Order: sequence, then structure tokens, then C-alpha cells
Amino acid sequence: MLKRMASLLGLIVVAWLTILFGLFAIFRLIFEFTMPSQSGFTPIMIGILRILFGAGVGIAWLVIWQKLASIYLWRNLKTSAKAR
Amino acid sequence: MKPLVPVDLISLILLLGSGFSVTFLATGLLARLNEKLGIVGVDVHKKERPKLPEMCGLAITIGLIFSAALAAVLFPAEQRKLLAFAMCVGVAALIGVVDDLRPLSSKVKPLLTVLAAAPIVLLGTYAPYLAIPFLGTARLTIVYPLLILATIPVLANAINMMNPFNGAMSGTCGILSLSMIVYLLVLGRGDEAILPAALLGSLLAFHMYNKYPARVFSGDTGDLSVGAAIGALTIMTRLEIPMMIAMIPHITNAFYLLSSVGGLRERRQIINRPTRLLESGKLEAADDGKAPVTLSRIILAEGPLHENEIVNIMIVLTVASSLLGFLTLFLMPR
Repeated sequence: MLKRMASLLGLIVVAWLTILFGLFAIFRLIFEFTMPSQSGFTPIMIGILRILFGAGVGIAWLVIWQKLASIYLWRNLKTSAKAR
Repeated sequence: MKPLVPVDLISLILLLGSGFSVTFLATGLLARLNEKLGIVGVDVHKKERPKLPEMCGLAITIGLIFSAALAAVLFPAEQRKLLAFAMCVGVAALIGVVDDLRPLSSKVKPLLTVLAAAPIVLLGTYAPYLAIPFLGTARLTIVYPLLILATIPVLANAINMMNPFNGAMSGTCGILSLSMIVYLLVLGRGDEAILPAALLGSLLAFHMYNKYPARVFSGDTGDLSVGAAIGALTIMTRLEIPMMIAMIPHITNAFYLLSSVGGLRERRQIINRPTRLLESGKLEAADDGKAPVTLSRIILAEGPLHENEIVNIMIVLTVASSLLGFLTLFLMPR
């Protein structure tokens, strides 16, 4: 039971760290991104790029969570099947 | 002169007590009524497959709306916020009642829950600022109302997906509401903790009926209204990021489920089950590649467990994520 709990808590901690890092990336790097040239079209372009990159970070969170959970699930299911 | 007992503490206990007592009485009454009316569901995780009264989570809604009304009498200056909260919970419960009586399609239900978020936006009971760990406060004048309209349906449906076992919703959400109270007390904003206290009281009372072996089911009515309540309180108390972290088990469970079944699917449309009941009464993770990935299946991946053991693990995970949320509070700018 302890091994199971440790693995599950590990998944939670990884999710926490990805949220902290993702928020930092969105608000420090992406939202503060500017371009040297400020023509009429540039602010709209920057706005769209910020939204796209922000969404990209959000999708990256979810993909990391899914991959980790999937690896954990299938590795353990195979081990349990072999034990039977 | 300073009062002997802080007024915040008296209100907190009063609201906790009102949520508890009204929900406790209403659950007993609804259980008898729904059984008589034939509104029952099968407890599929028991070998005997008992039939239990469904939709009893309406008692939590009743407890919350009563407590909000009581708080409106005690704190007349907060009436707009309390009205927005009561409307949000009421609308979510109404959608749940419709879904319990006549199942809604997998796409209509989340869309309808957007309506539950509308009172918060329309009554303007939010501050469009988001506190980000390490960085400071971001002003999101245009985006924030849109985030509210997305967040409440996501949380309401995430709570709904995290309720496959006896006591899972009431246990984990009880921890979430307790965490919210602790966060607010630590931040010195105890006066804002009255509604989370009412929610905690309601969930404690409901847990007495819903814990393993359950005597009642909350139904979508209870799950959606509790999810909407947590979402509304998260926004009103400006605890977005700590609560998002406290809800990691719920959010990841919802995402695992949605990504593994390829988008929004109605529960009844998912033929391959994530877990199966063994002769011993324990539950085992399905090794079927087409079965949805859920938190319970991940918990069971290392071997079979009894239903109450799975729920205990879910509660421990929620406690752990709530502690991480607590840690995050200290990473916020002051």
C-alpha cells in the first residue's frame, strides 16, 4: 500500500510542479513577449501569439499528466498480469 | 472593547451548523421520498447490487441555499454575493435534477452548466485579478469573465466524474471545503470563510449517509451543485491557483477520462468499464485497452482493493494536493 501511495503522490507532485512552471512560463515569458517593430498589425499578432503559446503550455501540462498516468497504469497492469 | 469570542468564529460555527443540520434532515426526508417514488439506482460495486435512493444530493443544495439565506440576514452588505452563490448552486442543481430524471446528452450537460456560472458574471461578484505564484497579480479584465464561464462548468463536471464510489464526492469535497476555510483563515480573511463553512457542514452531514456502505446516492444533482459551489467560492474568495492545485486529483481524473474516451461521452455510452468487481468483493483495474483511464483504475493498477480502500486513497490524495495548495499560498505575492 505504501509503494502505491508513494507513486500516486509522485503523480500529484509532478502535476503541481508543471502547474507552477506553466504559470511562470505563461505570465513571465509569453505574456511579456514583445516585438521590436510596433506597426499597426503587430499588437494583434502579438495577442494571437500569446494566446496560442499560452494554450500550448496548457496542452503540454495535460499531455505530460496523461503520459505519466498511462505509463504508470500499463506498467503496473502488466506486472499484475505476470504475477497472476 | 474586543469581543471575547471573535465574531468571525461565531458566524463560521453558525453557518457550519446550519449547513449540517438542514442537509442532515433533508437527506433523510429525500431518501424516504425518492424510495417511495422509485427514484433509485443500483450500487454496482457491491455483489448484492442493492438499490439505493438516487438524487439525494439535492439535500446539499437545500442546505447551501438555506445557509446563504441565513448569511444574508447576518451580513446584509454581502447580499449580492450570497444571491449569486445561491443562484449558481440552484441552477447547477436544476440541471442535475433534469439529468438524473432524463439523462442529458454528453455535450448538452456541460454547455448547460455554463448557465450556473452566469449569475457570478452578471451580478459582478468577482475581481478580475489573478494572483500568480512568484510573479504578482495579473489584471484580466476581458479574459476573467470568460474564465469564470469556463471554470465553473469544468469543476462541476470534474466533481461529477470523481464520484464513482460510496463517499468519494462527499469525502474529497469535504477536504476541499476545509482547505478553503484554512487558506482563508491563514490569509486573515476569516469573514469570507462562512460559505465554505456551510459547504463543509452540508458535506459532513451528507457523508454520514453516503459513506461506505452508502444508504443514498447524491446523483448528478448533488455532484453538479457541489462542483458549482466550489467553483463559485474559489472565484469569490480569489483562491484560484491554490484551489486549482487542491483539485489536482479531480482535474486529472476528468482529463484522463476525457482523453481516453476521445472527448465528451455520456456515462451510459462508455461500454468498456475501467474496473470490475471480483468474487472476493474487491475491485480490479480492467486490462482492456479500450476501457477509460480514470483515477480509480490508476489506483487499482497495482492490485485489487475494496471500494472503501479506494475512496480512502482518493481522500488521502486530496489531502496531499490541498497541502500543496497550502504551500502555494506562501509562494503568492503579498
